[in-house]
Amino acid sequence: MTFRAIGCVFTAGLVLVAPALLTSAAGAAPSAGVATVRAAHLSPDTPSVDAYLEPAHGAALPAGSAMTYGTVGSYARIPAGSYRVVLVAHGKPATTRPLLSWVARLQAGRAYTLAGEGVGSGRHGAVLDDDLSPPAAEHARVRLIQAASSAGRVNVRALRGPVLATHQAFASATGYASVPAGTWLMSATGSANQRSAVRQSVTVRGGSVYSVVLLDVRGGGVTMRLLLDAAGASQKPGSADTGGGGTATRPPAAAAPSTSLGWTILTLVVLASLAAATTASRRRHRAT
Amino acid sequence: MTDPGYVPRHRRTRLSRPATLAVLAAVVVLVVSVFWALDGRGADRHRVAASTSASSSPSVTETSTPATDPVTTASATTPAPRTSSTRFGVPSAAPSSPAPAVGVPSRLSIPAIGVDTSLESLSLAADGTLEAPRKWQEAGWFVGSSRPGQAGPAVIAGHVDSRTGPAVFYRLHQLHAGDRVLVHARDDSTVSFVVDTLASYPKNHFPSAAVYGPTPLPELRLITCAGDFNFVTHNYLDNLVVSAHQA
Repeated sequence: MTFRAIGCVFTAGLVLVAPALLTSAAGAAPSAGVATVRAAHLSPDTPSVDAYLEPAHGAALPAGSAMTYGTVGSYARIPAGSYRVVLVAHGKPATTRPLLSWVARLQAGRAYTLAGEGVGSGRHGAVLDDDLSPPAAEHARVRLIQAASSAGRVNVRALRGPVLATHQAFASATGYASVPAGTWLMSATGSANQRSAVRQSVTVRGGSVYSVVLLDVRGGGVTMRLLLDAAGASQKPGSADTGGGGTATRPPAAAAPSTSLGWTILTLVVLASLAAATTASRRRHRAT
Repeated sequence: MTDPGYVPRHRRTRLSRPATLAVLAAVVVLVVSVFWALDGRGADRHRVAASTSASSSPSVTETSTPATDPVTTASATTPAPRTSSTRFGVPSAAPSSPAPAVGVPSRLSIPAIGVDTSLESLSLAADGTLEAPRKWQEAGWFVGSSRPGQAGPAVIAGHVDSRTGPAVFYRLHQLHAGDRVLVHARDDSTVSFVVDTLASYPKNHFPSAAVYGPTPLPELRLITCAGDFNFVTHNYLDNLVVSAHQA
């Protein structure tokens, strides 16, 4: 009797647990293979261009039209993968001989700035990795993109604040520096002559990521632009308590059935075994 | 044996132990199965919860919605229409100019699961967690996050249930990749989002960086509770997070 009772309880327990096991095997889905990119024209002596991204197979994707020096496009989502970035003179078809082309390998979940930079024979394409890792609390992350040919190598720093770049060459970018949220007087000076190139007030929000871009001004001089690379919350609360429990199942009945059909079948099986048990028990009683 | 009361009593004791236990178990199973059969969405809800609670490790678990529907696939990876120039935004002439003004969100609608709610404003709770909406049937937008339509994640939380029954985000787990989520702002503008992923996480391993961290484009996070309910502390153990990007 006791054995049979244990057997019944065990069977019932299995019925409750088995679907949970099945469910847990229902695997995780792969994450989406999407990268985020923007094109940038940072070459002072290159005319207006149209930008395209050529995938390994298929037609070129337009990535920017009539981009002049200093233009940075908005971000767009694109399937991750390897692309050829092509800059052609504005108005020319994507198939014409490009002014500049380079390869960009775009990984899912990451962001990139695809920049044509440099002058003359030093013109080249860059794939800048736009950092999406969260800044420290109440801090922003800021990098320098040095695209002003007239400034040469530069030192860039916030007045009474962090340093963005030291001796940074034209047509290159720094990594990201952590900058406390707020408004800063940002100054760029030629690292050779210490002459001030430009000084500008810059406001950065906590939790966000920026690029400071140095650009030549037509007719002489240098200007500074602040680009938002990515925005995030300055304060990052953790989890949220969003439930009263009114629909919660009391444990241990929290097991999840895979299908109601499965439940019905299992129930029938249990009922059948119960019937068998009862009959057997009755028969045995009669025997005594 | 002449005592008429003995036999029935004897029969009772001999039969009752296994029979009672078995019948009880059967009744429980039957009731539960009928419940699940009638309420298919309940099965889904617990499926999302179960795949997290079933993993003994506290690590983050990507969970899929019903296994037949591959989550995080097609819609998110839809190849860019090759002829469309809108795939890539028109280059801005003044890259340093701030994002266009976007209104404070006032209403959330998710047609796929019948959600249409006004939005409260949520701040940080004293313990550093996200304040929960005051009303069970109303979702809330975290004022420290981006406005929907601005670059960055806009965070909206809602209760999965009240103390007595389903609440505004009870069916959140039923969303699939590709479903639309609409956020209306006080200035009558509407921003449309497309669901990418659903994932549930143990609350003590909540992925703050992924939920609140910086993104280059406008995104949306919908948060509710999931997993097992602790009847002592009156808390769910997990959070369900739906991630979406602007359409």
